[in-house]
Amino acid sequence: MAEEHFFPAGDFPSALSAVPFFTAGPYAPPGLDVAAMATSPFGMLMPWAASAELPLPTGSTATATVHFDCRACHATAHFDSALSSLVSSPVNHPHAGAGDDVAAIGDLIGRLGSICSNAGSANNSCYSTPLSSPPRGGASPAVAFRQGAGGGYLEPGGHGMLSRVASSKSFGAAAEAEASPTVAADNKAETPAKGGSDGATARKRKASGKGKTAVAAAAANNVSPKRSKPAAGDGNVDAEAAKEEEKVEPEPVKDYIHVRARRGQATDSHSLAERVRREKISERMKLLQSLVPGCNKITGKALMLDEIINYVQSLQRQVEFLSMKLSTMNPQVDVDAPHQYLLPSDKDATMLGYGHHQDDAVAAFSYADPFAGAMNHRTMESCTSSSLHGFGGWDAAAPQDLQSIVHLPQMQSPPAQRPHDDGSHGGPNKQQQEEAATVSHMKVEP
Amino acid sequence: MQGRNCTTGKSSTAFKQELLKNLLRGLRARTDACAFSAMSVHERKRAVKSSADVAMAAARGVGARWPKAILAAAAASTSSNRSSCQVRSSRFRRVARRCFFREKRRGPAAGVAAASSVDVARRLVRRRTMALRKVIPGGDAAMDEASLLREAMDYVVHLRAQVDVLRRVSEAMQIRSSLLRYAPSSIHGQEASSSMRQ
Repeated sequence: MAEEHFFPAGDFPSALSAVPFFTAGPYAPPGLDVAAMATSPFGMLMPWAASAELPLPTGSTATATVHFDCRACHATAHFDSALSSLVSSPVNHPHAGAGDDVAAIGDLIGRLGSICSNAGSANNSCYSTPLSSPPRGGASPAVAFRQGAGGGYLEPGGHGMLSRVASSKSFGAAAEAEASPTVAADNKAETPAKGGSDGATARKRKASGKGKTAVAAAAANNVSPKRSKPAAGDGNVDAEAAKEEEKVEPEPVKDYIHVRARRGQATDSHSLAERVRREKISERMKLLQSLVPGCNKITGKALMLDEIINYVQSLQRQVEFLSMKLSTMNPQVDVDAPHQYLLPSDKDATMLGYGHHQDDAVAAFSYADPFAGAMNHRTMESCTSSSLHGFGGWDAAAPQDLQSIVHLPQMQSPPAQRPHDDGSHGGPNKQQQEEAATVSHMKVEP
Repeated sequence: MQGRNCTTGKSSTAFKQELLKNLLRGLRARTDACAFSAMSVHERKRAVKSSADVAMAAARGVGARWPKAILAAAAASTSSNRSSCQVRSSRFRRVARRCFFREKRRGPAAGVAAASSVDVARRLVRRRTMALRKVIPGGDAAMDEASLLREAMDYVVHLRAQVDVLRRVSEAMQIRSSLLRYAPSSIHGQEASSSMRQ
């Protein structure tokens, strides 16, 4: 449940990080980068990348508008669902449409604003944003956001915004239909911001500071079109930035940090910044703790980092192992065959099949692979070569079919995958599948 | 936050599907360019793994930094070995990088420091942070710790999804191969006839 937040949430920070991203160091604008790579010798590996909707840093704003609208709507929905888990506010309709999304987010922002201001009421406030420091009451940010968001939310400003197009694209932008009514409205509203949006984004993005309210905010580039309402916009931005803070979020840029010092603590600029930074880091460490299994009891940065490193290395090793396994398997090129996996009749066949167990793996490989001809070697080399020659036979139909075989969660579990499992059918239960798979492996491979 | 460990989110499924699609495309493109039959096992594995990584990076989009690093590395290695289907250069590069990082790690530890606990702790954390940078693709770029942690989180989540997809694919292929081996009557007529040929 929470992990799903990760996927869409990761898109939004890209908008914020886009500016320092592009200006800092080795990373060229992502659109150019990938497009260039796609056309280079790498193109053979990613022929689709050239045609994919990669962000164009200074490109066609018109098309970017349309795309961005769809994505943004979809991403908004994700954000709502993400937020709901952390803020116990009712986000009832993630896909109810752009207007409702905006309203919901406005409510959340308002609530955040009130939380932030309440938390800081007893303390000194040190920093303030360059554009005044309006009272972060609940109403004004929400209202301003609502007003601004209708036009501004989907505004395709400079790099930051455009990068969201591609990032949320990867998460199945099914929100095309939702976005269409808003496209017309937003095309008018998108006036100024192209050139200035970067500056606005940088200015308005806030580093965490309010790590206390660990809630994600909408991307800051939502804010940039609201430059027309700067006063309200600031309160907005603060709340949004605090919200944005939640998980995958932008690295700080040298903009102004609106922070409230805790009672009795130094309000020196350096120590405050330091505290902000430390809070951010500790917050992220906590998130990582929830990600990495078995790290609930570990307190301490070094140990936690150790665990994280081990986990990442183990995952990478798993990928290597699985890819080795895949490279030695015979793909059995028949793209129509997958249907059989979903038919109950196969279950009987496989039950029978598992009864008698052949030793001649090589013979099996060779007979099953129509391309291999007569391959009688018993070496893995030949098996793999025959099998992977078959790999080339995957055609356009394969992806859909393979998806059905591989049974990504929204489908029923094909009964063929669990020939031994008499009891359970359907119902994606990963553990059972794994057990069944292991058992089947043990049987099939002598 | 226990829910974070469950992987049946709607958007994680979408990511996995995208990953799978990219993986298949990549493998097909790779096989077209350079026949798998001509490669050794290790090269094949490397090809599959790199396809999987590229697929994951492409499916991730531009929400983070590590996809770019993966794509850049893959592009560099591809351009250097396209003709020969070998990745010696990338291997060399990997080794060189490893050496470089080992040096880098030893460097800060060379100095003698006062044995204050804070210093020790800080040194440990710094060392581990560098190790983390090494492990996360693109982590060795100039990033502050907070964003490095964010990258790590993002990478972990998507890596888990990649592992899941690869595992399912390998299971599916395994099942399929066993089905075809033991129950030829249930499969497509064409394949059945080819099996008769043997």
